[in-house]
Amino acid sequence: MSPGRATWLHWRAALDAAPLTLRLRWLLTSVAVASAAIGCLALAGVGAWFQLAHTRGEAGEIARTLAYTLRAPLAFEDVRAIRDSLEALGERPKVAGAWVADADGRVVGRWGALGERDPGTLVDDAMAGPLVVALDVMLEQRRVGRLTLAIGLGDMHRTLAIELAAILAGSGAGLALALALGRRLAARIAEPMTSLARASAAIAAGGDYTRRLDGAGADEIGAAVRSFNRMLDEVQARDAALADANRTLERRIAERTDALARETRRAVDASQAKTRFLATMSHELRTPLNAVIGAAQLLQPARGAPGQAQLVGVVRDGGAALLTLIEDVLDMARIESGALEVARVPFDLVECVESVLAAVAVTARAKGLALAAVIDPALPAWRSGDPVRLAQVLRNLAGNAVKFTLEGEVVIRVGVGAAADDLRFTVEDSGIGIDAQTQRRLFQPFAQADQSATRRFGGSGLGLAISRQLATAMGGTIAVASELGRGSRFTLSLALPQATPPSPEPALDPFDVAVLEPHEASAEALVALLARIGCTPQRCRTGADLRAWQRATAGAGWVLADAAALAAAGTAVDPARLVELSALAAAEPHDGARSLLRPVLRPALEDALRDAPLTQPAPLDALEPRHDVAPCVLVVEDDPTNRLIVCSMLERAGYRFATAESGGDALARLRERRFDLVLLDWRMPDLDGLEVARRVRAGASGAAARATPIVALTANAFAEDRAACLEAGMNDFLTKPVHAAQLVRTVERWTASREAVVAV
Amino acid sequence: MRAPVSTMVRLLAVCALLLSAAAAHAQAHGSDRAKAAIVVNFAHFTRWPAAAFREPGEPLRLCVAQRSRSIAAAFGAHEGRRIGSRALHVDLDPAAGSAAGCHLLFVHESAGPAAPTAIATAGAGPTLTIGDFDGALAQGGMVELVLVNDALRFDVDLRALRAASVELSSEVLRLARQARR
Repeated sequence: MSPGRATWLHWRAALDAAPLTLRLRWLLTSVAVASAAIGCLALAGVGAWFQLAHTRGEAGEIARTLAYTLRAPLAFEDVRAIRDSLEALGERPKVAGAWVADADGRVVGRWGALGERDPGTLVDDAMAGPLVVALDVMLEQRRVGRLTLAIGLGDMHRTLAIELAAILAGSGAGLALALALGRRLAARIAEPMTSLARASAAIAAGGDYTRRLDGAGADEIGAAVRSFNRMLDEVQARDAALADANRTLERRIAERTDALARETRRAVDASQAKTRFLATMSHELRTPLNAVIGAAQLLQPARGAPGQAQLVGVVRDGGAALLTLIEDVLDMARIESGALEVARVPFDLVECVESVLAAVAVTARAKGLALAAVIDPALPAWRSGDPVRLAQVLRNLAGNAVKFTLEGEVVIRVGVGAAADDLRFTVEDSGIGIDAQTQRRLFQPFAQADQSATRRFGGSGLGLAISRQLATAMGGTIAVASELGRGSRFTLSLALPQATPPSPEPALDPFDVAVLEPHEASAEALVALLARIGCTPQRCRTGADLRAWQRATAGAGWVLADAAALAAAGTAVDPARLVELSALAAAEPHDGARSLLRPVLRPALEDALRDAPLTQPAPLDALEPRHDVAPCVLVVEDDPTNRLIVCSMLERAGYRFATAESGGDALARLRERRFDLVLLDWRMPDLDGLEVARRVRAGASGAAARATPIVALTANAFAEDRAACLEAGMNDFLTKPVHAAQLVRTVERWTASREAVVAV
Repeated sequence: MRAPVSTMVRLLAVCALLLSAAAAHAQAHGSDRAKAAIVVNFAHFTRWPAAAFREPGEPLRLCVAQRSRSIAAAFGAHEGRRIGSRALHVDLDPAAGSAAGCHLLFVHESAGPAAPTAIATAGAGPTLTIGDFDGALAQGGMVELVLVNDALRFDVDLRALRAASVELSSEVLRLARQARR
């Protein structure tokens, strides 16, 4: 691109960017200047042309006149006359020179300032002069000479200069007028547009749509201004409508939100009230129920009419069923109110599963069902999780299985799950099964197999719903597989990470153990358990198997055998090395052999295999005081019935006891004398159990009492409750209703170490 | 060899010229030619009465009274020349009595004694009479040519002109050395 073009483009761009007023002014100015310049040029040109033509015409005129005058003098060759004729040119100041030549071309006469020059050297110059006019002098058709005139242009130049000055002055005045008018015109044209632009920019920047433009003329700009104002009206109207709609909408939303919040609050309040009511009612119901069950337990062994014992059993079972129902309702209420907490503590998986087994064993035994728990011996037993909730779920599943199975078996299996820490718990039964339709709503509350089943088997129907909720809360799942008439299998999958065992377990001597158990699952469970406690189990199906094993072990091992199977095997076994397996608690082992009740639990098995004297779970009335000076237990319980029951159980077990009816009372008693153990009710009117425990641990009853073991008596068996107990300084807890055997075992455990405790 | 040939050619050429001039008798002197030219010029500036011409296209008769071959040649050169709408007819040897029909009569000094007669015969009609001899005006001529400083000038007798009803243009009269009344 050439520099000139670049400059032009630069100016173009600058002009395009300039304000309208300036552009209009420039436009009008350039038009005015251009027209003035063109006018000047045209006028000057035309003027010059006219002047020249006029001068030429004048010169021609002079020449013709003179030539006529010169006719005769030339014809008669009268030089004097020629000179006289030329002298007449003195009247013509424009003529600068004149020459007359005769017919032969000789110059016969000269005149003027230029007269001395040779006429042949003259050149006609229209600009600077002179103009040269030459004319033949004719007489009739005969040329008698030639006249040449030189016309000076000084006059013409002067005239032209004056003319040009006049033109320039006129054009200048016109230009000035045009510029002034153009300026005003530009301002008048641009002003409304400028104000329109300014106003619209201000409106766009400030968002003030109430502003209006004024000065609307009748031209296009006026129309634009009016349109703009109409548009502003429209915008303002729309804004107003929009704001109005927004306000209405906001108000309605606020109203709705408020209403919704009110409704929600009311619903939540109602729900919480219901839950609170349910919890309170359940708890209130449980206290008298515990009394009923406890009393029934105490009554049962009493000698009386057979019918009376049966009636007492009915009372006890009915009470227990009612208690379970209430517990379920309470659990449901807790879950629904969101009060459910899941613990994460180390626990023994085997112990947990066996507690479930023990809980359902009585019923199973009574129905003649085979019950077994097969725990993979390869699984590390110590796990991190919530043992109470896990036991609750498994108890529920196992309880259901036992309930809905009329004959056959119920088997709990614990194995490795899908993931590393996952465990899979299955509860299989050979019961009535569940149809596909019922399976779908099985885990909803109050969904038993059918209504007739409810009537037939009893139960609230809350169990599975609670189980699923608990499983979900623990991060696990429950699934069911069942076929009508062929039994059911419930599977609980749960992540239970391994935990470090609190202390190395005392290892049993590695015995060789032969297992002669016809029931497959039971045999499997026994083998697994034996493997777990460090023995070397050998499953023997026939007498031949057993004899082969005897030969291999040279009679050093133990034999766990079903009595009937052993008899059928026809193999002689050393009674000192024999543990008989029986399904009935009342079964008498023969020949002084030890016996184990099915399902076999680990503590019982370990006891049976030790060389120590056999400790048999004795009936309540068989319990004898085993201490020289019986330990003394302080029973703190505000409810007289419960107090009476607990005291009766302790008395039968051979313990001494004292009672306190309130927390304050308990603190006073503890201050008076030393107790070996305190059984402390949780809920009491003045000070609750937690507070009493805290004060005792703080030394409110003297230094001696600070070390006294405290066991809580509570209806709340959940993890958070247990944690609260331990946090308050208690050592253990017992759940209500209190079972005599459980009570005695716990009291025994905590008083056995009293010497150590005293030493502290 | 070349030089004698060219010399011969030159000699031949000169001889040829001499021979041709002698044969024509028509070579005029410069002064005679000037006189003829002036006389013819007078025809341009003269106005005759309408009666001088019998018909519109009639030639203008210029009669020359002379006894000079040079003059005759000089005037003969003007034969047929256009004067206004008419042609010039040069009559070089007019009869003594025929001068009456001439529109212009030039009496040359070579006419000698016949000159006054010629002027007198012409004086009756509308004839412009011009003479170049001394006393031409005195003998009744209207224009007398005089040599002044080698330039031909003329005197005019206005009375004679008026008497013959012949008008001379003022342009010519202005050039006259002397105009007698």
